[in-house]
Amino acid sequence: MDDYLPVMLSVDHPYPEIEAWIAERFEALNNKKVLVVHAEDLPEEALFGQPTYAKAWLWDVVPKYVQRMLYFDYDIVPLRALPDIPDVPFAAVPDAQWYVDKLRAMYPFFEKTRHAFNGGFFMARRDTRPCFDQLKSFALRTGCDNPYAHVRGADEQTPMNHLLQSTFAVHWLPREFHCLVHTDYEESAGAYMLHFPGTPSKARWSTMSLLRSILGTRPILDE
Amino acid sequence: MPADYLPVMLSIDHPHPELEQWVAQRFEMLNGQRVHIVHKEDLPEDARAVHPEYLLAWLWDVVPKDTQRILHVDTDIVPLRPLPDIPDAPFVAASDCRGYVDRCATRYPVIATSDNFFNEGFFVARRDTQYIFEQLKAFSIYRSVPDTTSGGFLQMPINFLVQSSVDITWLPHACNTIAIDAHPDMSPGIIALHFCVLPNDTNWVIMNTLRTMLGLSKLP
Repeated sequence: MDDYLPVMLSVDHPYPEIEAWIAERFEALNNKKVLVVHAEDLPEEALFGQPTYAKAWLWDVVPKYVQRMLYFDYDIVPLRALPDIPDVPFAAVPDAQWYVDKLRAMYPFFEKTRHAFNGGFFMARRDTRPCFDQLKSFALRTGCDNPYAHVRGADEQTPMNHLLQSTFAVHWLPREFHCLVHTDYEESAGAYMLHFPGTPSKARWSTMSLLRSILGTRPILDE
Repeated sequence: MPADYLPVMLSIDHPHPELEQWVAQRFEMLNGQRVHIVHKEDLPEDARAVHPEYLLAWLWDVVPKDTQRILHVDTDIVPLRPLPDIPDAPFVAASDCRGYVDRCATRYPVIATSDNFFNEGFFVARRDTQYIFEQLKAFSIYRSVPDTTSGGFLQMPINFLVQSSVDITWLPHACNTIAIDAHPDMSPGIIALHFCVLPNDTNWVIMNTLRTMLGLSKLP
């Protein structure tokens, strides 16, 4: 079963041409049109706190008939067509092991979990909506006074892991589904999606722009 | 003028040999010149004691004696398009990104005078510059003697020595575009893209992605 809506949150993207290319490339590879969510599509309250928390409002911006959404960040490049993802409440990819180890050292909850996922890519079924609603209230109540703020770059990711992993058994996908550019060398040779989190801004956009000019919407060139 | 230079890549303990091979093959496919790859065991004894950052100084010791021009290219530079003809000058290099040149110029008079600066990852040197490399060797050994693990930034001394010894012939930044400083609008004209100073394994992951997606394809 592969009926999902791809959704990309793109609040104030610095390079709209890259945003458009990512959506076009995803569609060309997977034959699914991407719903690109801009700031003006979100309710005002979603823009109150830290930008990364805006994904808590995802179920508010997709059409009501959508049962599954595949979410990905705007700094992720689709490289190859995604294989089918099982019909489970929530599927995601394990984050880098050093990051998970760090979370385990800080929060006892993560000692019980197998992994922690990176919030940049996941497949969520509509029955996960209560978790997203909880994340909304968390985002609104805590605002910028975030108890997880000392985990560099964590933002919404740690509470999302808490909420979803304590409610559902996350289905773990191979790292090729969401390859992290700073750590996943082995997986990068066959990656379906390549994520540039934490890459210095100029290098991130120039590399994505380069990939855009090289690949366009075509699949792999050297086959 | 034909490309009468020997492309040389210093590849000391490369963590991903498949990338080393791919970069060399891409260079050869684009420029018609086979890359001479130098590994640790090819280096003379005295060079093995210095920090890898300084090994550029030994370039003339690892090429055949009849080589008149060396084109040095770092292992983290991806050749995207063919290089332009390289003028027959003592030393040819690509301008670093403007912001970096300006920063160096405010600190060092020699850079302010030339108003230019090159990244050491890419240059073409003629044999009559060999004496400059001998000076660099002396500097590198001097710096490495107290602690061979103490790395150095050879870029500044090599700029000082070369710029105070010969007139550099400058190529456009596109010949050695520094990814971390590149503006996205530049990408259609990039000749070689340099993935230096990126965090963790980012340089190798991006290069591996390009290897598998681009392979040896030519770009428009």
